[in-house]
Amino acid sequence: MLVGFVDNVLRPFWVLWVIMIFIGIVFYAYRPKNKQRLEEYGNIPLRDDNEER
Amino acid sequence: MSINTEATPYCEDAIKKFAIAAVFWGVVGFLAGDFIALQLAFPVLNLDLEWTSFGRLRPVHTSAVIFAFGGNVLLATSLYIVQRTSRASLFGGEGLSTVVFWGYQLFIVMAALSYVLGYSQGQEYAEPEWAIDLFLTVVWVLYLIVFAGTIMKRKEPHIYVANWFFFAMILTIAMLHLGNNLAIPVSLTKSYNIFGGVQNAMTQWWYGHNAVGFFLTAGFLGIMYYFVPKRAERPVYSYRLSIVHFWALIFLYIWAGPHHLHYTALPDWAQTLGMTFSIMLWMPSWGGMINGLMTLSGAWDKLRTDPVMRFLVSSVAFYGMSTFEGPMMSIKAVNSLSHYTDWGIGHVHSGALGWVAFVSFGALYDLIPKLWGRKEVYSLKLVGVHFWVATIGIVLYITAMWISGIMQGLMWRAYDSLGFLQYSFIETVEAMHPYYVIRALGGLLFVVGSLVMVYNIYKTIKGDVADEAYASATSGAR
Amino acid sequence: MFKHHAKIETNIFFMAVGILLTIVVGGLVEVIPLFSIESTIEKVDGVRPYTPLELAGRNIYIREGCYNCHSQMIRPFKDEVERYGHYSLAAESKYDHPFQWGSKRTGPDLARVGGKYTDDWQVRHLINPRDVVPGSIMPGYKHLTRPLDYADIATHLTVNRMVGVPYTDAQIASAKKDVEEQVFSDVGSSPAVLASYPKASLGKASIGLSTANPKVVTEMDALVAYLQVLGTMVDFKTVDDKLIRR
Repeated sequence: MLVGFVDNVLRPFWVLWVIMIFIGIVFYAYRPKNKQRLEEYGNIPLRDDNEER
Repeated sequence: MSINTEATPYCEDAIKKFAIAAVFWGVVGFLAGDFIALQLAFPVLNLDLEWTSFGRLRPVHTSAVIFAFGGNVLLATSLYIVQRTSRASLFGGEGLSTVVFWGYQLFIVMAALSYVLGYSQGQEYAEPEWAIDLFLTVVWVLYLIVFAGTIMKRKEPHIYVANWFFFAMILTIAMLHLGNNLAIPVSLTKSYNIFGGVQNAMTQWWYGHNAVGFFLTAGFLGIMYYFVPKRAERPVYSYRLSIVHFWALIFLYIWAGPHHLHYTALPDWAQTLGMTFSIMLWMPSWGGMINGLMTLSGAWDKLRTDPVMRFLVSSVAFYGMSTFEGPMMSIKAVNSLSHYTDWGIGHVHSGALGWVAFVSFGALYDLIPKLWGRKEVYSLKLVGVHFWVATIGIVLYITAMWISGIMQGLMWRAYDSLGFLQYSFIETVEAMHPYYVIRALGGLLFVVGSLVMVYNIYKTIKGDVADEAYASATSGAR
Repeated sequence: MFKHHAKIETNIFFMAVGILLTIVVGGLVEVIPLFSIESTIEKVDGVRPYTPLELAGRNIYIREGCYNCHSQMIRPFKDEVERYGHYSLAAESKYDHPFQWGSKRTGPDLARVGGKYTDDWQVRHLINPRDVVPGSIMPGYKHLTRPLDYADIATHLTVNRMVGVPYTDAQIASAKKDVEEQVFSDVGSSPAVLASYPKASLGKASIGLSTANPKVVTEMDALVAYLQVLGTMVDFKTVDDKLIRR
């Protein structure tokens, strides 16, 4: 069954699957709504409890 | 999140041990590499003893640098970073992480001894026999528990992107290790892989290439995403790019294995898939490189003033170079020349020495003073010496291998005016000699650089401060 | 699905599932069809399981790490075919667990080294390569003159059968005897082992060595028997080109 699924569904259309997933992730990451929230996460390494501030 | 939370008591005993082990195994692995490089230039160094021949020592070199040096660096940095970006102490405390430490070192020693004694599965980068493989699996699962457990008890709501890379590395390596080492034992020291021939070739390079992709790339990108921002004292250039980088990289990498099997008996459709994905891989790789380099925008002066930063930034530049060269070599027409030659060895080492080792050195020089409560390494000047000696070593190494590799490939396919092959094989071997000597010299410089690091780190841990660092500290400069 | 990315980045279990799904696709699509697509392994005659002696020799080849410098995979290029012989078929390594195609040619390809040199040349070359090839950088393998340990050779055949190599019950039962028969039969004779494994190389390779006991089977005998069969099983004069075209 797994072999059939791979041969009939995954392999013939793999380009389509790749592009769809990629566009989805780019859409998510670069949505203006998410910008501020995501970029704020970049500061996580810079606030360390145990280092002098 | 408020900054004024209580300090988290981090578990750092095992991390200190991993850091020291990384330095130790690094020197051992570089020395082993230079020794086998010399064997290719001067075969008398094989000593005609069964335990010291190139065939048995080469896996010692590759395992020592990849799994012992690289592995200990990854364990040290991942456990360091996961605590500090989660603001939580290690799951399982000092105890469990110490078990992981000793288990991992035991794996390394068993693997190296087994190769020297002649026990090998005969698959590159997966040489340990089944019993050692099983032992490593147990240690690796404990590592997964420590890492994922720490993330689960974190105080920071978001999981920082460096941890994604580490986590993908841990999961993927587990999958690859189990998939490629499926074997039926004959005895404690010998087994037969359940896959044979072309299927075994595919699983082996699915494993082999992704050991590069996930162990030596994803894991070390985790290091980049923490230590470059930390050392530059500014957030990563684009966090959104890092998300795209992550998913694109791990998706594309897993397909690239067949580029090791171009023009072999592997079916063409698989070779084409491997080539296509290898070329596409260039994009996320350079996305990651840009993200690392641009983190320094506005702080480029640190390149001049901070040799640790120089290690980190150069490593990212080497990453960019290797990940351009790699996709190019995966194009079948280029591969027909480069495959089986020293060009491949040169490519691996521009990645391994320039990217993996340099980002490791940068991380170790930042991490070790912090772990032992020092303000900075013993001597930044010596870090600068290490940097230049190692860089010259790399340049000698990779240029020698480019020349010898391309020359080999051209000599193998050269015809004389009568239509006969122009060179016998042994003539092509003899022509390599000068380049093998230069390569060994480059390797020696890399070893010397690492010994400078050993001295510097020893003095740092001891608590000494070099004169020049003391002078700059008292004058107010950093 | 992508609205849920926020969950992935805050929950380690979702992230694990996301990562596993992402990395599993490539492997499935590239590996599984190799087992199901009929044309992956060419249908040619002649490829047989290794004799017990050849198998023992192959294990020495693996033990010494020969694959670090020698490939066993001739690519379909004019120069390679002229230098080494017909390009390699998948069928020719279908009983190889593990495969030994290699990735580097510090030394020459060995896929068709069988029959190219005499047993005596092979032995002298393995003892000290520079005796016969002055510019060689290969290590010497003096220690191969020691006796071969083949007490458990039948178990090796049994395990090979478990991973798909079609050894018969009779072949497994006579494994130990076959080792000795292959070494101690004269070249040109036709012992039972030859009927069971056509084209096996007979005779004691290390016979000329003063350091090896002529009465016992040495590791050298096994390794040379393996090298001498490499690439010789398929008779390309009788192969239909259409069956193997890539």
